[in-house]
Amino acid sequence: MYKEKSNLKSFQVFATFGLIPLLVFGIVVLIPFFSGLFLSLTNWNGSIDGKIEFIGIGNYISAVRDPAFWGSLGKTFYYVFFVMILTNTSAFLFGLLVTSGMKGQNFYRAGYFTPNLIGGVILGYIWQFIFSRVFVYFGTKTGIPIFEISWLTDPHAALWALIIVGVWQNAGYMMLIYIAGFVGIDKSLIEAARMDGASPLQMLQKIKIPMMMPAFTITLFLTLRKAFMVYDVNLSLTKGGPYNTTELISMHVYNEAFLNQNMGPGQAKAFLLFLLVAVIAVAQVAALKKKEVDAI
Amino acid sequence: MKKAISFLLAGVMAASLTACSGSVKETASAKQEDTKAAEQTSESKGSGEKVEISFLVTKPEIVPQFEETFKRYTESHPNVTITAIPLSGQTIYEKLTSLYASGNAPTITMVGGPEFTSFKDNFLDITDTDFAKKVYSWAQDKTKSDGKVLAVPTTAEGIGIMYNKKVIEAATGKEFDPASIKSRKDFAQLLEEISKTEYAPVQITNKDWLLGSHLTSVLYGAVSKDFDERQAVIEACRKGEYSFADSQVFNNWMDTFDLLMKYNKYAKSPLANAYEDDQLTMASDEVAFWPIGNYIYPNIVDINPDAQVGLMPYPMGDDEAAVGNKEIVLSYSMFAIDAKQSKPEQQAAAIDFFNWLVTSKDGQDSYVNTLMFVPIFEGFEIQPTNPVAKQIVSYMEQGNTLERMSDYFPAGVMNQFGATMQQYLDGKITRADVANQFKDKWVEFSKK
Repeated sequence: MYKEKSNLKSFQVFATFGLIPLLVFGIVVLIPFFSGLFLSLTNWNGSIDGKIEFIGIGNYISAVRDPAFWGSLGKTFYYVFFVMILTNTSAFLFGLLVTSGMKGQNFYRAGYFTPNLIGGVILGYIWQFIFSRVFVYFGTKTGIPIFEISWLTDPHAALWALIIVGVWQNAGYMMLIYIAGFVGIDKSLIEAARMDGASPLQMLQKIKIPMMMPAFTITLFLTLRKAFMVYDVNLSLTKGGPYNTTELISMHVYNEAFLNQNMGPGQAKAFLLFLLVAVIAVAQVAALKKKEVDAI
Repeated sequence: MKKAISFLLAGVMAASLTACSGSVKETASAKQEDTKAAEQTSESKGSGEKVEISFLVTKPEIVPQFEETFKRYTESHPNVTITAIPLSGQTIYEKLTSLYASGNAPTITMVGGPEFTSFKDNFLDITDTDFAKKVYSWAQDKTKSDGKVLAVPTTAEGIGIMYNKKVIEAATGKEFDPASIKSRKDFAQLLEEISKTEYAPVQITNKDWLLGSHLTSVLYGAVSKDFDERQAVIEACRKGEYSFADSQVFNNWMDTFDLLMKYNKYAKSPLANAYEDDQLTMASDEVAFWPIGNYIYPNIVDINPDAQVGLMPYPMGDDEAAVGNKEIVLSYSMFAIDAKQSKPEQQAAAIDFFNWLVTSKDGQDSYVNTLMFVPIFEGFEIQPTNPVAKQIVSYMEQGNTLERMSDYFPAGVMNQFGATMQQYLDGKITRADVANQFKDKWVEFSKK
């Protein structure tokens, strides 16, 4: 890779380009990660002057024994499952739509992407207004029962409110990746297929989807990660309510550490969550990588 | 999770930094000297150097009023700038932990009872300051640690049921005197009468802090008139030995809650109304009763300067003699000055600010008329003129107060109590479930 002759020279090149990012990565990711891991093995209670004692895996035991942790994790899986499916389905369809050559497709591209530009907290407040005011107003005027009471006051509906907002926020971004996938397909392959008389559906199924497998790998990974880590929308839209029924796992970890002041078990839960997400994400990427094909 | 981790990390790094500098092992006597040094600098320097101090305002509803007060102080002390730090949606504990951990501790902090216990090691000893000596002796116990005064009360706050005089009189056609409600029976009759008119008898705010901390304080405050007996109940709760289901006080408290729920304006969808809406409906004379504290009074008169609202007790029984029928919950948070991360001149400025606020005429005027606080300080020349504050003063004078018992709750449990009451309000669980959940959550959170 390096064309430089001596080791010193190549180190200079590395230092010029890589040292600062590496340093930042170390400070904001690696050090926090390992000190967090260390803290999860101690009885630190969050106070500044508190003595820190090593207590082994006690925090992990109390973390896995906490039924609220499993309840929150279950809801998070439900949330992740539907956000992943719905985000990717809609993003794929949007991508297909805005690359089909329809009139005004650039306008739609920008439109679908806009929600992604709004920060999660603001998005949550906007949708809170929509769910608790606009829908209710609409419901009481028209008498449609599903809109008559605010979704945010019913545990199940509130979880779906979170899912809808999650999909709405992420679909535009994933659409961009799908668009890149569609555009990146070699025109000669499409032409050849057309010469052979393939129908549009066949073309999609046999040529386009296999050729853009890398896009699926990325979008599925991104939605998976984003959905597991969701916090901002959760906080501003439902704040875990009604009565803590929509407390997703990130919020549960945060509340355990800072609200209930159990830093140790909170940190242990955070680490368990990291392990879980890492395993699932790696498995997903590995599985999809196998499906990627080379046409030429 | 990333957020949680990065918060924690910031905390760890800051903690290790302070540990290195050795400031942690500060002794009490060193602190004492700090105070003296701080006072001296304030005298010698006068109005020379520019000092910037920060003020953690933990009452989001009156941040603008605080800023107005700071402005007034700065007019006579141009070298001092006070910046308000709002809570921005976090709890006091969350905010203080992150501020202290990041080395940005506010010079002045407003804390409640639980946070005072957690953070008192960081607070400046203010035993010898003028303003701290003015605090009523009965209010000093909660502000002391090891015989040293570390904080002063902010304002006397009452929690009970707010009534709208105009609405009640319009609905009944009779003059309303809150003293006429001597028991739950009287209250129920009045609610029934109002429910037949166009006015809403009751609204219940569904916030967890109200249901889980403010209203439960009525419950635990009314268990006994005696301080030690109340502490014994708290201790029994921690051990899981207190039987809520068999407790007459608990059942009375729930009976009143049932009554309120029956006449709730939002009975159809009791978790949908927002706190902001509740302030509007009370201020615009649409509803007669609202379980809340007087802390909301500034907002009510802000919306409607002609509002005629007042505070009465949360009825605790059909029997007139029941504890709680004529008592409101008296609560106060506290002001404390940081001893660990603030410079001596900042501490001096903070002390000077409080001396100004409590002893000077301008300060007292801001305290009473801008912040609408009710002084727990002796020798105030300016007394509150607003009717609710006057009521609280009279409740205090007659000794008709209940202790704010949520100060003794283990951390985090108030949100759980709130969640339980929200479920009950929503009709999802029964009274027996409430009793069980209270019992279990006490034990679960005391263990941690």
